[in-house]
Amino acid sequence: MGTAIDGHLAAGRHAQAFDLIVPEYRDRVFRLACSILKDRAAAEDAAQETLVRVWKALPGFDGRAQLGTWIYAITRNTCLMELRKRKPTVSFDDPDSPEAQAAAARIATGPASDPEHDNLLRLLEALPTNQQQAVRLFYLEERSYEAVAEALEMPLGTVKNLLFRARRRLMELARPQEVAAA
Amino acid sequence: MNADRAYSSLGPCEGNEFDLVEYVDDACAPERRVALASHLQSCGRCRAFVDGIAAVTESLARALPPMALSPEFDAKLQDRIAGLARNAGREAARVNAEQEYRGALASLRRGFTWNAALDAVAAAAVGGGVVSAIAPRVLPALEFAQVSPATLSLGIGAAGLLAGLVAALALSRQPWPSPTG
Repeated sequence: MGTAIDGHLAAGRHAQAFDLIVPEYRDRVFRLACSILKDRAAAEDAAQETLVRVWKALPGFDGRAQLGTWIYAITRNTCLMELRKRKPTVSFDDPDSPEAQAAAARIATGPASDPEHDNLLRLLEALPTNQQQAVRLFYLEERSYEAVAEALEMPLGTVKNLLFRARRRLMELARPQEVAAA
Repeated sequence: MNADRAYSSLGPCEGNEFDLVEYVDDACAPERRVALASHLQSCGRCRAFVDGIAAVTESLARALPPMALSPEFDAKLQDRIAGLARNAGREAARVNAEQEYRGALASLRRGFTWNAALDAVAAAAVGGGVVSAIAPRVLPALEFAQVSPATLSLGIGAAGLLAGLVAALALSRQPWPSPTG
């Protein structure tokens, strides 16, 4: 598929290339947007916007970067612009900070309609942004380290490390609740 | 998440943590996997850690279900692209029309320049002829200047030609309005 797209691009057949790009990348773009925006509808809108931008910019694509890398970069930029439009939210990039600890405590004692899932998602929200994103994408990408690394444009080892630290931290955060529930 | 509580106080063996997470993800090298499986049979702390990570991993899988695009995604995208393509077509047509307009103006300007020059030459020729025809009658009045009729008509013709060329040159340098203002 990549070869056919590259062939069309090299020949300046951008419309034909785009016809192949959409089925090849739309789901991956959507999943990456989901991992960043954490909202299905917003992610779908971002995927639309990303592909429209790809269509517009395709004649200027010079092939210096991999096509996938280029499309993922456009996706991330589109999602970041969407996030900037939203109201500012509190971010806990340091899970050991007093703010994050207090938030984790509030989360652990807060109401939940589905205690296990809701609490786990709330604990996930208390993790650093890059860990959250890696975890979400890991599950959206059927637990493929490689797919996460490609989408986030990170070395494989970095992705493994993020996933390791995120789950170890979630295990630590979840344990007091289990003890309390026992 | 029913991991062995022993993990919270002791944790897995040193240096095994990272590999044990890969073990849970079924992502470590085959030899390492065999070695870890063997170790887990005899190490309660590492087994507790693996159980804890596996429990978190499975809980996350349930809490983060797969998501799919809506069925109308492609149709919506096609509509947007078609709209943009139409606009792009209109823009291209506008640019083409503007280029044609500029080309026509340039051509017209060149034609106008040459027409003006030819007009001036024709006027000079006619003026010279007229002067030649009436010169014998006015010659006595110009006798003191000692100018022959032929020289006089040649001079008037040359002056007309020069004036025509100067006018043509001046017109060719006038700016022309843009179609977009």
